[in-house]
Amino acid sequence: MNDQIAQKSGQTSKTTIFVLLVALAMIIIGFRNGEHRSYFQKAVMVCTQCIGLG
Amino acid sequence: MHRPGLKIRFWTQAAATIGSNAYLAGLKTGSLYTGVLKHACVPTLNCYSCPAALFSCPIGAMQVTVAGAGGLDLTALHTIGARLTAISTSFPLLVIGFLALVGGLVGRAACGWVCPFGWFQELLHRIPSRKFVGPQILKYLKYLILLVFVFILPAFWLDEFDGGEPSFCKYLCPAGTLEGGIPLAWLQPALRSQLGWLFTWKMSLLALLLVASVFFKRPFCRWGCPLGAFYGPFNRVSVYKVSFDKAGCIECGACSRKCPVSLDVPREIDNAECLRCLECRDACPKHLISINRQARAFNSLTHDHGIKP
Ligand code: SF4
Ligand code: SF4
Ligand code: SF4
Repeated sequence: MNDQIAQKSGQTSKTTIFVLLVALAMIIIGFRNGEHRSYFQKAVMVCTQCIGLG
Repeated sequence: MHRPGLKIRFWTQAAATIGSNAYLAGLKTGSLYTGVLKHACVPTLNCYSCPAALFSCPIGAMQVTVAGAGGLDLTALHTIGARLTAISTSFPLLVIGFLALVGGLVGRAACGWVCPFGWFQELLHRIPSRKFVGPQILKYLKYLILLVFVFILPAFWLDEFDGGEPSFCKYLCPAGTLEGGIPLAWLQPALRSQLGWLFTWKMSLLALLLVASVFFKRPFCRWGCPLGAFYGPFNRVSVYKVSFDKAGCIECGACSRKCPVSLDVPREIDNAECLRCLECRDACPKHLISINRQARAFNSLTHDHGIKP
């Protein structure tokens, strides 16, 4: 039983590491693409959709 | 037995709310913060149109990136190929990567510990009244909202200016109305005169949600929030997890009564709805609930500080 749990948590750790690595890769690619600049433009002006102007 | 150390969650929520909305000049003048911090998103729903907001909202940022492709104009057939290519390359990698990193590390704990709008619903629920659990089936609604209003509509729908639009912000988001719409309408009289049916619609949604929060625990988090829907699946794989020793359970119900999202804790703890808030661990008289080994450092932070709100 304990072995089963250990095995399962081992698998979970591999999935977790995979998820974290993919997340980091996405952050790096997204940052290099300059995505932050596009939403920054929106975030520094009053967003008419957010406030309900349309 | 009550572990007072856990009250640190209240103060963490308060500090996160103030820390991410600390642009006091905006609250005086109704202008927005335009500094470098707005290049970064908070890991929670916090409107970037709030005059006090220092950071960007990840759900708003996702929609803006997706809508950047310009929508799909079905009447201009010759542009469809180019528009579809633009849509396929406007996937919000940076924001999704950031949220996946947070989710991969702590699952939905950002909802339980640092979200201003989640905290606000919790505070409203403290108002004395009859309390209800609500229909469980509604929890699937938030996944639909994430898919349709954050991805599909911003990618394919054209707004009145023939561009893509952030549909969740525009039609649904109660945080945008509360943190952006109301303060800006208050502080900028010129804006007030332009408000129309959309503002009335969003105010009605917000009012409904605020009233519902008194009777139901965190109704927006459980049923409507696309960010909660995004984080939910990460609970399965995250580094930080909550575990439960089922064998010793005496079914006293103390844990479920404290759960801020009305989970049947012995059966549903750590599922996609769990906020990893540790309220159940605090309430369990048998100490059957704990956090996993990888998260021991966090445990020592939240265990014995004796801080009360
Ligand atoms: S309206 Fe809502 S989703 Fe849009 S930026 Fe504001 S808080 Fe975020
Ligand atoms: S689910 Fe609730 S706590 Fe989580 S981001 Fe949404 S509003 Fe905030
Ligand atoms: S099951 Fe426990 S940790 Fe999860 S949300 Fe409910 S009280 Fe918080």
